[in-house]
Amino acid sequence: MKHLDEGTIHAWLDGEPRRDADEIERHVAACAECAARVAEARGLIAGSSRILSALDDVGSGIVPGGGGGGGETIVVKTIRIRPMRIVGWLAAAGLVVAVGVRTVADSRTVGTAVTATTTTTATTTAAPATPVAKAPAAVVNEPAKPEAGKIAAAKVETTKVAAVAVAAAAAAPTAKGLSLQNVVVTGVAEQRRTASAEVTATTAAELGRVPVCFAPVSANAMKQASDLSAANQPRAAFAGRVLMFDSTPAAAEPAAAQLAGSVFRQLRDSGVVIGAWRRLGTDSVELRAAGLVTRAALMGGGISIDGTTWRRSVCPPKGP
Amino acid sequence: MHDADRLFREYHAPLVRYLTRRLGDRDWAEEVAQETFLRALRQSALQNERAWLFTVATNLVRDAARTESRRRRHLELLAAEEQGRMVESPATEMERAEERAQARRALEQLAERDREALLMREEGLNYEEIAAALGVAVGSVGTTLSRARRRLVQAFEQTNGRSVGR
Repeated sequence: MKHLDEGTIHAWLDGEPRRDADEIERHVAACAECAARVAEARGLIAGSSRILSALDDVGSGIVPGGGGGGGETIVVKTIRIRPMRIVGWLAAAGLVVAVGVRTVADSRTVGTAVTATTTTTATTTAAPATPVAKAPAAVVNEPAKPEAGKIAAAKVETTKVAAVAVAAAAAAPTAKGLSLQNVVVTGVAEQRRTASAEVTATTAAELGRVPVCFAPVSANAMKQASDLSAANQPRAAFAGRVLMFDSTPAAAEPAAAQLAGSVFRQLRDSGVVIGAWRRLGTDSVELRAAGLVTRAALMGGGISIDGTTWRRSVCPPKGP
Repeated sequence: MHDADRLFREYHAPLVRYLTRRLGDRDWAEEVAQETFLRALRQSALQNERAWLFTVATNLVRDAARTESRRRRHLELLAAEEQGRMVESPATEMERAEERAQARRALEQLAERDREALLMREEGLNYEEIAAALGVAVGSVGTTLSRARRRLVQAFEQTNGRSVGR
């Protein structure tokens, strides 16, 4: 067998299926030169993996919140809104599929305090084609642990965000200092009803046996809407977007059910965001999508963000 | 329609990690990943899900990089100002940030295709998937990876002034 070229060596070390794998192994055992090349290749593979792992310590700019007695404070990150292509997004929204409720009962957590979340972030200013002027500092923050055994209704403590897009206002960042609270209220009011109705009809058809509706999104209307059956999903407006997520477990289920990794869809005025949420305790969840992290309190079949409770809403009657 | 949940659970984390390494920005990475999954939802069927997702994500990165660099710089400046108000970091975080910057500089010295092939391999894509994602011959992937790994390590050692310990 001839000496092995580097490509062959790396493919062999990477475990790629090869018909001559046994032959290669015998050759490496017998040829000192190729054995040295293999050793070097192993080092390069390990070294490059180590180097690349250093790139993983990049946070999403989560801004730490302060602790508060008796209540969780919410960490809200810098919201970076970038214009995403809008073409076909309403059609894409029609493909949103309701996420079935996944409940994993964890009796060990019943009655215990919410686990504090430690967020470690380090945001790099390096862009692919832009030299890094400075290495930004990383931040480690841990929200204050709530009182043991007490999980008060979580409050969303807003922090300043560097760039925020208000719903229907496209993607230009707003002025710095706009609080999340303002965004929630303002964004909801600006949702276009026409778009909501279109999404409602399409989404209900796509979801089949789990109709999910996007009710008129004025804050007052949502507050006053009556509850749906357990099969339907609650929605809320969050940061100017309509948010839908897995329904909370039925009242009969253990209150501390964990829904780690559950997927929710976050419907913007012009598209859909896929994210994840996890239950933090008996009455709070952490929502994470597109660099957005926040917590919301679960209250009576809905969620509460920034003091506003969003309840499930009935589906609007279909036209003749 | 796909099992969107399964797709998300299986591939979201590695895709975001690939994109974060590629872009150096988790926010951007998550948005690109998000757009990738949206497009996946529109497909009636995916033959090779992982290869398809990484291909689409890679193409989105290339498209976005062409149009977004200036706007991104603006947002980064805003974020940097915001970061300045946060709790001061311990010394170890500064060291990690420096190493991250060095790794980033080393990675940027690779040719784009070599960089992408290497990052995909790190996420477990096999040679066939990498070849499909990058539009190259399967037989060339090994050579591409060997070149990328060697170049990355050399560039890092030059930047860092010390051996990676290979």
